[in-house]
Amino acid sequence: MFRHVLVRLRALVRRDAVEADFDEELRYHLDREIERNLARGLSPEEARRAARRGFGDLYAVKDEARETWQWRWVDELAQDLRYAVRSLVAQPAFTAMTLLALIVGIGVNTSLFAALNAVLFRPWNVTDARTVVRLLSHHPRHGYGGLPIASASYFTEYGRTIEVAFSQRFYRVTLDETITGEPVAVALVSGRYFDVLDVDLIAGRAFAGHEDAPRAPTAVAVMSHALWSERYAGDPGVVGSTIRLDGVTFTVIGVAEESFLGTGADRIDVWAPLSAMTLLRPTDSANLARLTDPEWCCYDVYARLSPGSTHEQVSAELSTLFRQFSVGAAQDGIDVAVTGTALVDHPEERERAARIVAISLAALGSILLLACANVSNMLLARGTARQGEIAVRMAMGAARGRVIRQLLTESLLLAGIAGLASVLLTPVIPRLVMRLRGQRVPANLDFTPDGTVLAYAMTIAVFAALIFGLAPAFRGTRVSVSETLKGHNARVSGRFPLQGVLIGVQVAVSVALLMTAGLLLRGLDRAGSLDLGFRTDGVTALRVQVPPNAYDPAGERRFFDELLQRLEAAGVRVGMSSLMPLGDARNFTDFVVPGATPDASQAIPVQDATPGYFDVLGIPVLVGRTFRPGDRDLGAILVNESLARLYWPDRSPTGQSVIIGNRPREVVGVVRDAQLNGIGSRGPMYFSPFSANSEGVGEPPVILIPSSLASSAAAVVRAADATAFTEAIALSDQAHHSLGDARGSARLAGVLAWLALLLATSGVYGVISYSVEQRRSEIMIRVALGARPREVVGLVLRRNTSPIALGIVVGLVLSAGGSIVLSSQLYGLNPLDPAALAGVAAVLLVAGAAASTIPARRAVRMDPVAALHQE
Amino acid sequence: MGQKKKIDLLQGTLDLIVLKMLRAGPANGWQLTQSIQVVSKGALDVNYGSIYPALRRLEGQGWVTGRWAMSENNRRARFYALTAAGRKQLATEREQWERFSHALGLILETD
Repeated sequence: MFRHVLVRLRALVRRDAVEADFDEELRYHLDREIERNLARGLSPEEARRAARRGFGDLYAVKDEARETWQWRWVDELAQDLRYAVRSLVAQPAFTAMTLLALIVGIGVNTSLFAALNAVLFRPWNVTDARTVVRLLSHHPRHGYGGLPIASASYFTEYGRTIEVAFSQRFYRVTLDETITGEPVAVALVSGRYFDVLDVDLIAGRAFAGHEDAPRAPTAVAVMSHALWSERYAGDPGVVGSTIRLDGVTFTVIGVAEESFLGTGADRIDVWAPLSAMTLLRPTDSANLARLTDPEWCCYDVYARLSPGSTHEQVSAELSTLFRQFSVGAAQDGIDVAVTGTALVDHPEERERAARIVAISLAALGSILLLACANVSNMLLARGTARQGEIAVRMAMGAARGRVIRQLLTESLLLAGIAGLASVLLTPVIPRLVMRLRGQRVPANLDFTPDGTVLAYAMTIAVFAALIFGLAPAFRGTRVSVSETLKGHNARVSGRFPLQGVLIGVQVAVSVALLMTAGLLLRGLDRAGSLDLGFRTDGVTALRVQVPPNAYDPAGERRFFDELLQRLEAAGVRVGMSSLMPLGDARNFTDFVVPGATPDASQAIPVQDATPGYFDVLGIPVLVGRTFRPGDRDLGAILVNESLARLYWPDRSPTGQSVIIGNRPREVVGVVRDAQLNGIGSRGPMYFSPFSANSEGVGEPPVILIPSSLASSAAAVVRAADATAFTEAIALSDQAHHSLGDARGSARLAGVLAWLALLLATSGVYGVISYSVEQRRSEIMIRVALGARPREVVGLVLRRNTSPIALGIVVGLVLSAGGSIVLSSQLYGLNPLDPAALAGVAAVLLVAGAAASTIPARRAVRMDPVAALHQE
Repeated sequence: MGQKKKIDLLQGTLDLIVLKMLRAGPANGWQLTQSIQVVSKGALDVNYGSIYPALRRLEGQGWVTGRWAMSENNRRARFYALTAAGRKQLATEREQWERFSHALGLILETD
């Protein structure tokens, strides 16, 4: 079999050579025959003729042989393609319309795939990227997480399945300037980072191993090519000079190559050794522990695999090593998991991304389906116009299969062109969509199509071609040759109501999309007017940022305590917290209630607050008391209603003791639930007394204050520290902003839905008006026989409403399914929203009615005698 | 021409004949035509030309292999040899043929 194919393949590629080969073989035979005949005493002329006679028909022989090495279908395909190109060029309007619909359908799907590819599948842009992996801890109960920074050097030293493990941590710092300047992105990386990733330096050198010693940090830095050319105009003299990062002096030792933008989502401007953490944040006493403590979790750790080792081997070896290294890991039975590098490489985030992609795929797949139905309809209509041509071809002996194949080639060609155009569009569309959703496009997000994207586009193009091309090809060739050639427009009505199905599908899909988009938009309205459980109107948040390294942690706490006193002394009730209401940052801690169910510790959101916090935001204390001075040392906490219900459903929580981070705490009161962690965030949370900079990292504290007093409060801040930087944000804006993601999705769904409605309306109009045109003679005969025009138009109308109605019902069922998936975005809205449904149904019914009425009216008004003559 | 009437070749039997001839050893197309003439004592009406597409077909099936070599008169000729698969095919076709001719014989003998 294989040989069989080989012979033919060789023939395909080198057809001339094969034929020459065969000719030589035949010539040998004839020459030998002539020689034999001459030897028998025939004249040269007779000898030649006898040899030819004995041989038979030379051309027939050659033809027969050719069949053994040719794929006839290749020739036929070329023929079909030529024919398809000619017929598409001959009808530019038809070609443009179908291509447009297909590019929309295939384009949106390919772009989604390209985005998916860029985020989930494309590894880091480094040499031999497949051998670089992310290492994660896997806790049997809490799932995936980071690893201690110190584990990287332990793994490097003892691991045989990996060459080097390394870590990275990102900071935003000021460069040579004050706090108001545009911050630059710094990555602190393990010492051998550049060597491991095989990144070339265009000037200077990479870090030396000893420069990353946790106890002897060196203030050296490598600069990105971008920063080097933007700020230093590509001056090679920058190597050896010094820069100031957050006021700390570093010596520039090298400049990275241009193509290397770092190994995070965003472009990195400066790299420094991980140990430089202690230099960059001198007041943070936890830095040494962060760098050396086997129990100090959770950071991003990566590794370069040894040649030939698999993810499973690495995971097995490092799990063992990690349990030797870390007491906590041994106690909890933590494994080391291995994943490839990608922009999103955390397994749980990947899962979340995959869920979003699945929803989008369903939506975009239905757009493709709609486009297919649309094109299918256009082909069907054209098939009728081409009946004459097809009948001629079949009359001249073309087999039906051959004609079907030829029509399908046309479909494949159309889809193929649309597929290629879609691939060319992939760098554009995802960017556009992200902008529409109000998202920033990270520097390392690369949407350039690769082989995978091309293969995907072509695969769905072929599927699309079969979906939209198969039915019209079969329907179009089912012609009665003699009738058509005699000049009758012999419409062969099939038992299968193809046009009804096409109408139904288009209506159903667009109803489903429009309903879903409508629901998202209305859900958004509702979210805007929801009671969040705290006041957003008339409250302003002041973010107060003191220059980095200006205070040690105790000093910073003191500064904010004094600031609070000053503000309250001015007679203003203010609230302070480390977390912005509705902000992005969130803290969780393990919460244990001795002797209670649920018995296992739970990760509960926590935030710190001053007593005034609850007053300013209008969150009432329901039981017990609010915070008061001294609560910080007492270990007092306030819980919200949900948390109280969870642990103490039948008694008062006040006075109960709980254990948080191995420290006993006492519940002193219960406050009403408030969605401080984002709109829709319900559930348990608790509050601890305000403590500025308690975690050593994170965002500056916020002061919450009635908006009317915001400017005077800012003056008080300036008086306390002239270098402090204050940013004022109205909480109502913050609420608006926190809906940004949902708003973006809804807007996107809206655009898609309008696209769908446009496609469906034009499709429904096309199918119906075409079917009415076909029945023109029937209509005219009815009129000629005395039927009243109005009745005839009514008849046509009725006939076309049932597939539309059926489509609406199916679409409703689909959108009900969609709303279950999207329920988290609907903020409690009833998925079967009658107002949205009525609107959609009305649009489609009007389109259908218009499509039936206009051609029917035209038919009714025609002079039957003249028209019948024309036929 | 006053000669004994020649027998037309039955459909598909040319392949069997070629395989059988190659059983004796590799040969080029011309040699095969000569052997068929000699062995069948000139009774078969074979257009010599039709043997060449047949050889190519058998090559495509993997039953024979063809390669260029020097013939006995020092010219390049394409020589064909039976493959193992060809040997098996010959046995199959031969058995089929024998069953067929036996059955035909039975039918023709009944009166």
